[in-house]
Amino acid sequence: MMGMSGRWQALALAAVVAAVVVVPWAGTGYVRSLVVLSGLAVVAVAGLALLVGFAGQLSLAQGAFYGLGAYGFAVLAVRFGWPAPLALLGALAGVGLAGWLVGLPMLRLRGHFLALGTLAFAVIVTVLLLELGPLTGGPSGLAGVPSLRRVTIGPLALSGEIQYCYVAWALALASLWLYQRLIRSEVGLALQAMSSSEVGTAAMGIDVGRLKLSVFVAAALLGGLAGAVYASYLSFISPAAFDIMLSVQLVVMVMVGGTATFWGPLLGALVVTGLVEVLRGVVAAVLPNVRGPVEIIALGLVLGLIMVWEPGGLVARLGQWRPGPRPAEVPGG
Amino acid sequence: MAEPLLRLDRLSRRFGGVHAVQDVSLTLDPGEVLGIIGPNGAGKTTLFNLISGLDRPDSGRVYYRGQDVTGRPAHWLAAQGMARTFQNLHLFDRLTVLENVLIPAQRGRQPSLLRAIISGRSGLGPARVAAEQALAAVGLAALADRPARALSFGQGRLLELARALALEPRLILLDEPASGLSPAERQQLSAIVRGLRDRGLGVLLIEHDIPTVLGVADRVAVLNFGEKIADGAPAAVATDPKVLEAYLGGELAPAAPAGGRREPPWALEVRELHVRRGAVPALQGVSLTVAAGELLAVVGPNGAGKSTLLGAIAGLFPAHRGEVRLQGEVITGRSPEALARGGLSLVPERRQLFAGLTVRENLVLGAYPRYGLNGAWGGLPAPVGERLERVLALFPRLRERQAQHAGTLSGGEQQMLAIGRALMNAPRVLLLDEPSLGLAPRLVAEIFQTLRALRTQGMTIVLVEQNVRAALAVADYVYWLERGRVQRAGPPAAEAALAEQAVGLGAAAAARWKADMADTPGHSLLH
Repeated sequence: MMGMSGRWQALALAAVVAAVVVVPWAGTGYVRSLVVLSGLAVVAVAGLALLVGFAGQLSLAQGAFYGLGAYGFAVLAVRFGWPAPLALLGALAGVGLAGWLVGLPMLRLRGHFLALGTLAFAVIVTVLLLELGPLTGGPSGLAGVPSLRRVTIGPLALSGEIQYCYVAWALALASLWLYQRLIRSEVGLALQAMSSSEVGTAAMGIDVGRLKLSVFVAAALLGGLAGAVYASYLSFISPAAFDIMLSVQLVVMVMVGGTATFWGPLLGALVVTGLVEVLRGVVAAVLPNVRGPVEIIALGLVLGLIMVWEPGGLVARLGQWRPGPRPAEVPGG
Repeated sequence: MAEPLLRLDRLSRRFGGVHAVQDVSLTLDPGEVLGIIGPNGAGKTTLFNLISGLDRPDSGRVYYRGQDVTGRPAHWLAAQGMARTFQNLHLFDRLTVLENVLIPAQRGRQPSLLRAIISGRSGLGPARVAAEQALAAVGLAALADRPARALSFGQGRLLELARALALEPRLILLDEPASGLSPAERQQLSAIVRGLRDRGLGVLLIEHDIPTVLGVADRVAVLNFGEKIADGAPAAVATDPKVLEAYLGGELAPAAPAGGRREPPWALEVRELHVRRGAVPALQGVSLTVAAGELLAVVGPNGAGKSTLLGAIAGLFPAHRGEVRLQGEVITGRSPEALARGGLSLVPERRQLFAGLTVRENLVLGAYPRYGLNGAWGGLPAPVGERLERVLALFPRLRERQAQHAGTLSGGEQQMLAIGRALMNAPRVLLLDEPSLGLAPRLVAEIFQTLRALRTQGMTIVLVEQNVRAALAVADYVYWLERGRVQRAGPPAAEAALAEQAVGLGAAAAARWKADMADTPGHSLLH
């Protein structure tokens, strides 16, 4: 494992799992909602981290795919009456197709142009969600999205919220496992190569366009999956939740965490989710008369500081503190 | 007759109005090394891009192993055993040395997300063996686990070569593999290239270091202005008058005898200057002096450090050691803007004009460092107007085209505009980088006539020039630069006979590389 030694990592991972099991029981409803949302953020961030961190492709469309997943699931279930599992599959298929169609022309763009192109897509999605009233409910949103069936294990009757905590974090850990598996594989190598030199990678026999597109679609699918669960959890969704700020926040999570190991997406999602909540509280206390998402401004400042302080993300900085020599970063063997 | 390994049929590529490659036909057989040489901007790298699928020709075909592969993508060609290296290293900085080689060692097998999820790291097992072999072949096995960015420049070149070898190529395109290498590393490279040829690979070799090419190639083709002007045995090409002219330029009428004497106080003085470009030591202790009112020429082969020298004087590259004095005052470490205000004007290589502005606007902006922009688009401040008038008198063609956009000018006119823009700043010293680059001989003559006129008016000029003959015809004094050091200095008359040698061509040079080759053991480092 990169960054920290194997024993430290195992311990830290055990602590995360223990927290996920215990916190939903111990915490308040507010805490539980944060557990669910941060778990879903981890899922979306793991996908985006592959694209932004590993492949060096800055996408501002991840929030849009999150929204498409949410609305795909909700519309299929509510408007067309599909059973929930089928609606989930349908939503994912739709998101995957959208990712492919958008990625095909978009990934010819580079750097700032890619960021602007994906930004345009995100804006279009928001507008469509608002304007396709008969389907999406327009600005007033869509209610009655189906929830998970209640499960009872012996004497333990899990509340709906606790169930969602576990589902979100099962998906989060699975996404992190996928992430780690991918970045240590031939795909991770090729993505890092591509981020150094696309021309060099093509000259080494790698079909750069195809690779980019497949990662773009994979990232979209993880975003869509998180969105679908989100819709089911809240049972009510409206377009405002999936505007461009969501995409920005997801990118911020990737940057804050870093991408060298699965700890990056995990920490990034947790730290930023927590930070937004803390800042919201602080802003409300300090400036009681100010309305609107002022905490975003503070978040921007924090991000700027982190980028100056440690451009490789928090995990890179933590990696330097870990005791013992740095293990070689070579796959195989 | 068997089909050659590679055949180019009248390949052409234009960029805007420039014929980067024009009607180039070539063949290469297995087990043959074909050297491709030519002055800067001759189209060598463009030709490589056309062959290796990174760019598409406007017309003409590429045949590889008998198959028409024109327009095929780079990754497909690489998977078919056509490997290439890059002049300006395209290493994967985020990966280790071994991982860099693992990418091509998969030989065109495309990374798949599904397979990667199922098999994880073990999917790379078979490629690992091939990657380790390729590293061993270039002598980098011991550095396998180092990050690629920690390599020296020379090691980076070897890593590029190892990556190409890991594709198990039949044809290998080497773009300036020797540049930045030490003499010992060049020898090693030559031995590796001979080893590849002996294994039956075809090698296409672009190289500025002509002794290396002549020493290792079976055949040499020469490009100039995108056209092939010679193709034959190294000895014949090295003494071909057309080739010599392409490299050295045509003869100009002899210069008026130099007026000034070389003695202090110096207009410009460079002392023991050391400059690094990335990892490469580009200047290693260069000292030179420029007398007031003198036209000083700095010549030497490509990669000698000439442009770096001008850039370092103008404050674009920081000096690692040593100092630069302008009229006795130490100016080392000052910003380029401060130096421009202080009267040091650089006309950079490839002009760097403001293409979207008119000729007049370009010129007026040239006066900005000294005179500011006050009223530049209303009435011009008097001193700027005066300078403009003088510059337009020097270049009557610019006067005719004052309202035209700079981007629409011909190459020669653009060069005049670049010089004129620098003169608008009323420089104390004018630094000129390769003003003849890409210009036809008639235009070169015209530009150099202007330089003479400027010198007569008392301007102090430092001229970096690949076109040695033209430079010698106008210069008062000449410094020869080679591999970052001053090799010789003297008045141009004494140096003229040595022009051919300076670029590594001519009969004497041919004799020298023949002797070199006899000394070098032809053994292979591979297998």
